[in-house]
Amino acid sequence: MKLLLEHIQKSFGTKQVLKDATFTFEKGKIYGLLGRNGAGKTTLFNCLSGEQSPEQGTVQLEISGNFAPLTDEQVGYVFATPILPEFLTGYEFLKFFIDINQDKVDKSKTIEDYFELIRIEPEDRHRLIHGYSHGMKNKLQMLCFMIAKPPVILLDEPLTSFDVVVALEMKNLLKEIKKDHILIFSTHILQLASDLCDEIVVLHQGNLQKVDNHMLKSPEFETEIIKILKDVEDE
Amino acid sequence: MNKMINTLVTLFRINCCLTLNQLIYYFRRIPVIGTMLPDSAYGFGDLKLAATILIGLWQVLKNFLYKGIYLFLVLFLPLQLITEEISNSMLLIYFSNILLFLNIFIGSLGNSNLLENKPFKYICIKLMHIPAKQFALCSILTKQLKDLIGLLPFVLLFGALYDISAGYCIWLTLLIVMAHLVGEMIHLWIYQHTQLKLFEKWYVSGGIILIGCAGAYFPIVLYATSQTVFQIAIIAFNLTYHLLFLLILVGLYVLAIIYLVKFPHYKQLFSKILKTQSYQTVKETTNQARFKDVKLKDSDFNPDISKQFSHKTGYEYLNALFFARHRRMIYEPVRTRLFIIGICFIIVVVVSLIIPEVSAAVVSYLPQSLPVFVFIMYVISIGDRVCRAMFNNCDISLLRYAYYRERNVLLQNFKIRLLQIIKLNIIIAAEICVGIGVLSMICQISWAPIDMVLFMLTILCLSVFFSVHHLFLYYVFQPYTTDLAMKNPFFNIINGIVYFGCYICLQMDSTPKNFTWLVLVATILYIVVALYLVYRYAPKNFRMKS
Repeated sequence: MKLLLEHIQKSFGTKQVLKDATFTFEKGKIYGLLGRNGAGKTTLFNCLSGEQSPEQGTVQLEISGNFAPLTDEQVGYVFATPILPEFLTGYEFLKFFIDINQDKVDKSKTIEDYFELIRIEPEDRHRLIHGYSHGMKNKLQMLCFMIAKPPVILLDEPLTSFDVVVALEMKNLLKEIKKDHILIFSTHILQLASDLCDEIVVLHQGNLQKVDNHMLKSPEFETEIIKILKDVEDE
Repeated sequence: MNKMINTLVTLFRINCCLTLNQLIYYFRRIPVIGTMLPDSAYGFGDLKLAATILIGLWQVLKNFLYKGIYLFLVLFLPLQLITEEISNSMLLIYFSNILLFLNIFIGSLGNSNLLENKPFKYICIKLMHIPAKQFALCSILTKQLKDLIGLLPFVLLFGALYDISAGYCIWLTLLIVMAHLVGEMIHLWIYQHTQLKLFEKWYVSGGIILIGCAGAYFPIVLYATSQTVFQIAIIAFNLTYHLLFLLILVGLYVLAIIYLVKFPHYKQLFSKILKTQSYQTVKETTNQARFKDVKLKDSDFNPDISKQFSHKTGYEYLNALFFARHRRMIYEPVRTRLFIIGICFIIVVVVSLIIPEVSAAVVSYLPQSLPVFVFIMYVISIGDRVCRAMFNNCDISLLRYAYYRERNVLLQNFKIRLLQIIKLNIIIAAEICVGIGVLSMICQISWAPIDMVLFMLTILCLSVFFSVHHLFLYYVFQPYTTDLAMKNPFFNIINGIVYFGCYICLQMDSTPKNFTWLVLVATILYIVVALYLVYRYAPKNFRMKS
């Protein structure tokens, strides 16, 4: 399974945010999307998830040799600030979500099993989402994708606001599910990227650029990334 | 003095700049032609100067326009309704009476320019650091000039139409302008001593508006029946001539000028009024206000409800929970309406029992009053608040997800919600039907049973019609943005058309039978069209707009 982006262009007014974004993402890897503030990370995600439509270019999903345009339903999008219907309890939301995804759900698991999976305590399950902490909401959102299993999962700055414990839990969750998905996650925290990701993609000046894999664990990673981000700017 | 003029110019320029940037911003959002104006338009220095002049003119014009339309609606229209039936001297009394109660009484006590919390004020004082006192005095002065220049031509114009002397018109206008300043002083004084913005308390503003409107219009409505009310109007009119009243008002006006000019604490005043809010939060507060009445409280949460609906699944389950948790905010308006309608009917029933003339009027009027009910049903049907609750508490989050935006899901959701809203409105309509039934028995209206049934059927139909209306507009246009201000012009246009249609109905004479058919056909047609349009357009339009 591959996600192919070809020549994606998107502008706002006269400002061209995505100029010629071309890249191929593969299943089983976590991609870290790095970019400076305003580089267009969220715009790129919005173009992939159908929130916005690119002016030019194609986004295709290849599943066992068949190419087809990526549909909205094939994308799971975890927002930086989790957005869930707050008038429901966690339990009710999960029941609703499982109901509408009957065809994709693993029938052997109960709602309680799912809560166990993301470590939300029994006493919290029947509380309004309204009262959930940021971390709990994010876990719940993440759980939705573990249930619906969309092939592509986008995470917009997901781990930045977690405490260390939850962040570790989430990291492990992501590593667990990565074998079946294409995971792209945007951040500007370098350490997080080098920690979690298998590949680093830099979004700079409207283009996507892969960073050499060997660099990831090397001590010069940070200086190299900064060099890339600055170099292009100086041209 | 020089300082004052400088400040005035600065304020004017800030205002123009804000207006212009806003205009550019909204213009660029218009489809097709919007993009013709480049992003860089905000920086066009030369053009901006020209535009500033235009905007300055526009603001003067806008002031005229607002005041003109206002006086046309509150003064000219009501007088026009009775002008043929009464003498010129009485017209003069009504004329002064309306201005006295609406512009002097409500206008001066109902609001305070100085104490209002406006983004413009925040920008000028907190961000631009314009000295508080100068800002205060300048805005008071501007307001006085705007009142004088805006009102005078129209008071003169409408006065001339009713042969009221120009001198008296000028005099009345001056009274209004003076009273406004006195009002500012009173509000400032009260705030300084009690920390209360009285005009923001609903019972104060409500009371003032109620008294003002009653004073302005009761004499007109009751001119034929009640001498007492008319006597009050004459006293009020004489007041405008009375020397003592004039002396008091002029005295207060002078006192107000001195008080406002000498007032030493403007800086503290503004920092208190504008304190905890950044400009951003001023915006947020107004948005929150729009959705304040649909905010969930902890008390709305009843965990037992969960089990009650556990047999339902998917969207049925979601909506069942939604309506259960929003019981308070959804049923509250229903209860208020039921209460008001009940009271109205009881009053009419009691009065008809006591006064035979009223009973006779009911007998002759009620059977032909269906067109009026179109308007009444439009006003009292529930929908807007429910839609805002749906948006703010449910759709705002779920619309982020692709599965929620699927065509069939939208349609399914629309149907479930429509049924719920119809249920609410039918309750109200049913009460009206019962009321009409009781009334026709007591007043002994002799209409054929079939006519009465048709009459009630129409009312039920109308309530269905308006239920569809609200939800349909919501789904097809999704008028709210994330900051919840309405942005979609089409929404207002369609709403306007339906409103206009209701207004037209007011003018119609029609037999109940034909009218029932008309409403029935319109309702069914609207439901079919709405379902089709929701299916067709909602997937495109029913999504988040930021």
